Amino acid sequence: MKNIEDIIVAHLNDEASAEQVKRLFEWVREEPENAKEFARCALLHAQLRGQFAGEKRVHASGETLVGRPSTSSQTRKSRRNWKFIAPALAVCLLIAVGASVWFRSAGRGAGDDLIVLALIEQGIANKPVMPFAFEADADVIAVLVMGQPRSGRQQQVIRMELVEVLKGDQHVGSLRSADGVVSFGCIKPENSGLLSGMYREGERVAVYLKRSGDGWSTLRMNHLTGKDEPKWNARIRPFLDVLLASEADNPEQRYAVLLDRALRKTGQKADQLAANGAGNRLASPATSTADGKTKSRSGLSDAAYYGLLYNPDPRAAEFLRKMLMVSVDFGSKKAKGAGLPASIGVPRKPKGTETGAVDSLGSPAEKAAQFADGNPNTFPLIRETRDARRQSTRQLVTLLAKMHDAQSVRPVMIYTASLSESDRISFLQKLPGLCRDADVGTLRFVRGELNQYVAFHKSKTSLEPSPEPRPVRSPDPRPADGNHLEPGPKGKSADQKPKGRRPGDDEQHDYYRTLIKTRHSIEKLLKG
Amino acid sequence: MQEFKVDQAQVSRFATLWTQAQTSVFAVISATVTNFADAEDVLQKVSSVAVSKFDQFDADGDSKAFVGWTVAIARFEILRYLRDRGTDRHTYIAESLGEIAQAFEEIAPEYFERREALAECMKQIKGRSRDVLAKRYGEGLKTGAIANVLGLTTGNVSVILNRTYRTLRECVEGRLAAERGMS
Repeated sequence: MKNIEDIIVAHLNDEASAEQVKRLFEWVREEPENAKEFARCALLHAQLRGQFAGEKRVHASGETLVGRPSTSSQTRKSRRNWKFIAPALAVCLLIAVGASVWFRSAGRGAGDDLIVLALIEQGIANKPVMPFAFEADADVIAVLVMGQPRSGRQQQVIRMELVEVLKGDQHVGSLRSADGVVSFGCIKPENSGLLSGMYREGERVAVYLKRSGDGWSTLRMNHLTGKDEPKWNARIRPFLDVLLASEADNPEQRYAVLLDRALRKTGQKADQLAANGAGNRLASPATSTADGKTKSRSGLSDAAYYGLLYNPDPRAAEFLRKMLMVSVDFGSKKAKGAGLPASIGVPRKPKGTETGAVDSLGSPAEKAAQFADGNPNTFPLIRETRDARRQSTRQLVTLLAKMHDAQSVRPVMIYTASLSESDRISFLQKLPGLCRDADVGTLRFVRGELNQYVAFHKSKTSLEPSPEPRPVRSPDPRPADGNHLEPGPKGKSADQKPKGRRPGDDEQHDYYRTLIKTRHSIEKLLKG
Repeated sequence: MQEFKVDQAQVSRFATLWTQAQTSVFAVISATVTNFADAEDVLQKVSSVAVSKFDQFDADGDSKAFVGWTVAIARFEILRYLRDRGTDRHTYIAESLGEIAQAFEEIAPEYFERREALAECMKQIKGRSRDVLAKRYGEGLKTGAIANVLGLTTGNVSVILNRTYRTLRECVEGRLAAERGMS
């Protein structure tokens, strides 16, 4: 049994070999008692998952409770119990699924219409795979407030009134009852036998609902208490602003409010910006202190980046392009300053050093003044590191590629020229997306630039003999098109790392593969 | 939007039944779908299907019948998941699914007392063992990742996991045996 138990643990931890899994399930089928033994082990595993995932959330919510002002009616005991509300609510599951879920009974008063949420065991909830994934995926995001418990035929239900709809108002409209009320409910925990003492009237929760072919389900419930609500608002609302800007009456204007740095150029105070609807810092230049030190870097906030990544609306491209031009301006100066053709690699400064933009474009004070005057070609690049700049530019190019913004192609090519070969790879990979709707002239320009890169790379590598021969490639089954170095399908030989290869060889190889692949894509676009 | 008229009592009834059954359903799923994230996805799918088909569930059915009914739904969803993966190991699991579901149904009455016993037994687990469990079950990390985070070898982590698991198992069984002896 000991050996089998080890295999069971390995299997439950997703680490058993195929042979072990086979042996385990043969053993399970041998005797009903074996199956029960396996079931008990698996139950322990599931309960551990529930216990630890729940415990983690208790800690998380507990931190926010520290320093929470107590009310006169709040006893020490009730505060302790309260720590369990957030994790409990966080795993609420909407049992009213789908259109099939309208648990509304004809003939009852409108106030009796509830969309009931059931509390499920702690620890059973999905986690997002990307930032803001739940917010992007949800069809409805609403804030509810917990109300009075009310008695049903078999249960007490906590009424949860709708306070605000942040996303999916059009769906919520169809949830309204005859008198226009939308009400949710949670089975009162004491009645569920699971989560007793976890309810307090007047608290707010954010509910995320998802619509699918089968109906509706909950993605998530966030308990908004104490410091949680301001934090949640500060994180989620700007994201939703950007995500939903495409649905505004005037999307261009909305994007201008949210993204255009020009709105911030005249030193507007926070209240003025707020009056313009631009109180959130979603996209902005770097800011600096009087002594020229960076307070914050330029670029898109996470809210703006992910909002546009999930909803790459081409109407936002204009504002991203404006930001891109700043990088391009800097990049082209670097390329020219190095006395090299625009498309050939430019020597890099060591990582983490300043961009040098201050030197080339004036003092911080002068640059700030230029920026305040609205000079579109200047930007206060004050002590911003090269890495930070490259990262923010990469984000811009990623979004513009998703929007297939052909107008950005040339600026991107110019900026790319200022990068080292390894840094250039990620930008080259975006070119097919950027060029999808480009005209023939632009495509030919890109192909010409790529040809220069290829030629330069070949000449460079031919001057640096490698101590080891390049790995032998698998025969490329595709018809030859005159380019004998066209990368073939990913084969074992191409991925091999022979002993004795120098550091940087793989990087160069990746760069070259990317170049050829990108050029191939551009040629396909030209033909197509 | 199509609108189904369901009696409010049905809502309460489903909520009660599901609250009681979901532990069993998740246990069955996590026994066969060993990746936590995938298991949670399957559970969510089962709950959706159960709600949409709730009108087909026997009106007089009790919680035990509901567990059986939802586990049957879970079996279909697990099979669908395993079929989509299509590897040998998933085939072995799929072939045993009937026995496993049957076994879970039989041990269902023990769920709550086992959970309470586990909560008590967890108080004995401290230090490195607890850290490893927290990483594995709280954060869903695998052995290699836990080893990296805690500065251990993969072998160490496996040993700690196995040893702690066995300790908990023995503790839970011991407590249950003692309680049965007393009653």
